[in-house]
Amino acid sequence: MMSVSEHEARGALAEIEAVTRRGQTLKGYRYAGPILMVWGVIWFLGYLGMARLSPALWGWMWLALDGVGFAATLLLAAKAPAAAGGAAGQAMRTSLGMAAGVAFVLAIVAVFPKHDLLPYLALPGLFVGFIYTVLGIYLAPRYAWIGVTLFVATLAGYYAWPAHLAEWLAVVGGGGLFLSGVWLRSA
Amino acid sequence: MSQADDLIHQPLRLKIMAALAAEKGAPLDFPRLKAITQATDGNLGSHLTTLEKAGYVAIEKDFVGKRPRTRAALTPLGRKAFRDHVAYLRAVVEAAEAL
Repeated sequence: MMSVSEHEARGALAEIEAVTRRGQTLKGYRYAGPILMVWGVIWFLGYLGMARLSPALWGWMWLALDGVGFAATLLLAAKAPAAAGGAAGQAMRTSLGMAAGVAFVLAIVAVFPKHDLLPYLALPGLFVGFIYTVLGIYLAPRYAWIGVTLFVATLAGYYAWPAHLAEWLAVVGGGGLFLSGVWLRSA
Repeated sequence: MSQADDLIHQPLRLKIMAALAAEKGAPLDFPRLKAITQATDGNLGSHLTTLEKAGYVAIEKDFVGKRPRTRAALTPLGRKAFRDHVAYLRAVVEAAEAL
C-alpha cells in the first residue's frame, strides 16, 4: 500500500479542483453557446433594422427583439439538464446580466443629448464588448476573446466606415456573436 | 482513515476520475474528457482502459449518425474508490496541519 506525502496530497487535491473547475467552465460554454447564437441573430436583425428603418421605430424594434431574445434565453437556460445546475444557473445569471446591460444602454440613450446618432450605434457594441472582456478575465477566458473582438470591431467600424456603421455592426457584430456561440457550443 | 488508491493516484487517472466524478453519473464523451484532462488521445485511451479493467469506469461505444462515439462514466465502484481516495488525501493534509 502506497503512502502519500502532505505535499503530494495537497497537489492532488489542487489538481482535482482545477479539473472540476475546467469541466464546469467547458460545460458553461456549451450552455452559453446557443444563447449567444440567438443574440447574434437578434443583434444582426436589430442593426439591419437600424440601417433600413426610421429612427422613430428603433426603440420599438429593439424592445420586440430583446423580448424575443430574453424569452429564448430563458427557454435555453431551462433546457439545461438538472445535473448541470451550475451551468443553468450561469445561463440564468447571463440573461439577468444582459437585461441589466440593455437597461443601462437604454438609459444612456434616453439621458444623453442626441445631436449625433453615430455614437449611439456604437455604444451597445462597446458596452457588450467591455462586459464580455471583464467576464472573460474573471470567469472564463473565451468570453474575453469574444469581448475584445466585438470591442475592436465596433471601433473599427466607427472610425473606418461611419456611413455604414449599422450594416457593419449587423454583419460583423451579429455574425461575430453567432460564430462565437458556435465556438462556445463546441467546447 | 481511508487508504490511498495506487491506481487512481497516477496524475492522469486522477484527472480522469475527477472529471467523471464532476459529471455526477452522466457519461462524458472522449473529446470533452480529453479537453478537460488536457491529455493526448493515446494517453487518455490507455489510462481509460486501465480504469475500465479495474471496474472504475464504464466505456460505452456507439454511433451518432455515421460518426463513432466513445463515452465514459464512473461505475458505482469507481465513484466509491474516488471518494475514498479524496477522503484519504484530505486526511493526510489535515493530519499534517494538526502537527
